[in-house]
Amino acid sequence: MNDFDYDMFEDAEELSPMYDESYSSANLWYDDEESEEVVSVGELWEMCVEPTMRDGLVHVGKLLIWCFLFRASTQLVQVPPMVCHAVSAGSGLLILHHFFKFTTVYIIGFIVVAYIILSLTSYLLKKYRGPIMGTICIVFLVVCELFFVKKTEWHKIRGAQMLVAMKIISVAFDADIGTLQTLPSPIEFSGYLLCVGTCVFGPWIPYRDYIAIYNKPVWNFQWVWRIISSIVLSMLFLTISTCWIQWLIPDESWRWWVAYRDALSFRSSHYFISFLSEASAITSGFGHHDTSYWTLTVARPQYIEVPRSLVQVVVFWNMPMHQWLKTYIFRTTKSFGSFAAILSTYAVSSLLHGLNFQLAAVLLSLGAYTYTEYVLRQKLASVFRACIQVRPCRKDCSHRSKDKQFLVILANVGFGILAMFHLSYLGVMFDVSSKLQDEGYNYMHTISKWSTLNYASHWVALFTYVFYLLV
Amino acid sequence: MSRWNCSTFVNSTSVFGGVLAIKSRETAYVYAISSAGVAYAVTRACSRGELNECSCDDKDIHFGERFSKDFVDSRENPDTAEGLMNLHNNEAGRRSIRSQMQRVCKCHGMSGSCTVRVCWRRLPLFRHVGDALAARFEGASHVRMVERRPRHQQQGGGMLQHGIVHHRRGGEQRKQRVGYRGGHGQGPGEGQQQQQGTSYPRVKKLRALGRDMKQPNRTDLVFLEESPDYCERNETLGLDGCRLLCCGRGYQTRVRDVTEKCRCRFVWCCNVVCDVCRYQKEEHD
Repeated sequence: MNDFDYDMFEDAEELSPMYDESYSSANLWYDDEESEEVVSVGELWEMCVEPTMRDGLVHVGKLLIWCFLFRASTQLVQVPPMVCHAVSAGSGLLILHHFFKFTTVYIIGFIVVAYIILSLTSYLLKKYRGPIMGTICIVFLVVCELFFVKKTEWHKIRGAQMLVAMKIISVAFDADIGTLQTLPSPIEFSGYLLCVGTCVFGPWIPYRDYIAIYNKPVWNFQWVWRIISSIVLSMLFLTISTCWIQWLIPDESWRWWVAYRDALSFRSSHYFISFLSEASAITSGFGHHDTSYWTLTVARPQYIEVPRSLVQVVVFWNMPMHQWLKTYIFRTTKSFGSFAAILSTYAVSSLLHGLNFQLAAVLLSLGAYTYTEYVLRQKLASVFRACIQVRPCRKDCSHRSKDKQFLVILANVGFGILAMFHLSYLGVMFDVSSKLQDEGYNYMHTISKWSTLNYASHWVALFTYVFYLLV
Repeated sequence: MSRWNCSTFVNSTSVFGGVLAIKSRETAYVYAISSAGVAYAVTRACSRGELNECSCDDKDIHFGERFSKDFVDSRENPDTAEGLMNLHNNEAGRRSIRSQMQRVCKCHGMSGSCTVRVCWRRLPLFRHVGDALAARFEGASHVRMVERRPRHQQQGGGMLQHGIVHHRRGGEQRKQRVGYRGGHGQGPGEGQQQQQGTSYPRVKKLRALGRDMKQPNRTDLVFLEESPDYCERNETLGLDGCRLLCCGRGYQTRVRDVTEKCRCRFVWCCNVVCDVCRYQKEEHD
């Protein structure tokens, strides 16, 4: 017989009646109702900040330990180059396995296929390696996403795949242009693509920088200081993203505040990743230049949170990636006209991110906004002869009213507020709705979020463009 | 639609009136929500740092549950059916808080991908705890108390103490019986009892009413008696009847002819054959 046993008396109980029958303090719960929405700082610390930081430090710690081991084994004493590349590739594979487990196979497959095709095209033609590799990479990413990989798994490795694609395309273009005399050997290639400091979170680094880390490595106190400050900043932004702003702006506020909060949470998450990638790259030895030590910067939050313009936001969002887009995509397509160049830059950027409607919509909107803003402010700057362009004026600019004048400052602040408004609108859909954030947000989610805000930002941008045409 | 008179009476000593005297599912809910409330309030106070007694390495929710268990459960007598029912419902209330402690996760990664997931805990709103218990209220189990001789004799110190405190008379009688029997042909239970020199009381447990009904688990609510008809006015229990339940809007009583299948049984092979019963049912709405 299936006896379900639940023992009622596991521990000895006293029978003295402690429970007061006149439980008139039933009002205890009603009082709590009003203050229920307010969470104290202590509670926030214990429930949110502490577990978040613990989780974050576990991941960070593992990554940084492997980066340090890599640097210590290859850059302390003179080691033959093949061993260096092998160690780099090996530790990269290990860290990829830690983060992605079995899905690492797709990354390895990508590298193998890319190298084979690259060497083939190198052997057959010598000229169009760049565009060909670009197309191949994008095709591979799209095919993988559509047919082979599960959604949640793909959403995990999306970033790493994008980095590998960027590195491959940069090598191909460099070989075309002549910066690289010969194609790297397989071991050098995999060492570059799988380098532990840059494979999971980035940043993108050019091939010549990778080779340079093995020449005359420098170990000094600034290196340690830089790593520590990057880690501290990344943890700060992690807790801001998960805890502080959710606490500061509750769900019942005005919907534009909530939009600002969600977008800020998304941007803080991006800064967390950016500073983490800085820490991992510097620990591996990147960022050391002859003139200035350890100056690797991925994101500059101060230019994004208090922006001068959306163009600045795009530049300082991910500076290595911006560099990559400018060097390899923009300059290549500039010959087809500037509008085509900008369009193709944003198109390539969104294709590299994979087939994600949300990201594509955001990037496309961003492209349109930046173009409008650039031409409008250019026109206004020439009409009023004031320094209200998208970038800060150089000292020797030919405008009559310079940067420090009151009206100029006012105008720039106004454009900055407009930029912040656009940013809140664009970032609002990266929220914490559980199922979708594991898979990648889809079309319905994006459209529904934007329609609750009445597509305000798109309308404003349209008016701005019409205004530009009329002025 | 279930409605019951759960207003409180401030002038009398019992808060919910005589309704709790009936060991119905409403009583089960009241006990569960009270115990959950105690656990919740203590947990919140601990996490806010308002109590000095919360220990450092105990998680706040464990302390709250333990406190609620000590405070609320101590009044109940586990020997009576009512005591068992109340203890069970108190535990169900506490567990509903624990199960609702949400685990919230957020993804971080390049361009919004999910490379790193970071998770944390959040105490639920008490209204959600109440809602969860209300759902359990709908599915509460009708149980009865049974007494069994314990199968395994290793109940331990707690049982022993209990035996001494509550069943001294019964135990002594049993001891005499065992001694009388002598040493032949004793089952394992008797033999061990003789060895230990004391006796174990019969174990009292709650079982679902019918053999074929699902046994309730620790998170379900249990009750011993069916609820009274809250539409009938009953001064002794404090039931105000339909008039008050319907907030003075009046109500209609209908007598309906109900035809439904009853006495269903399985016939080999392989159909279910039911009779059709007709009876009259009184409904208020």
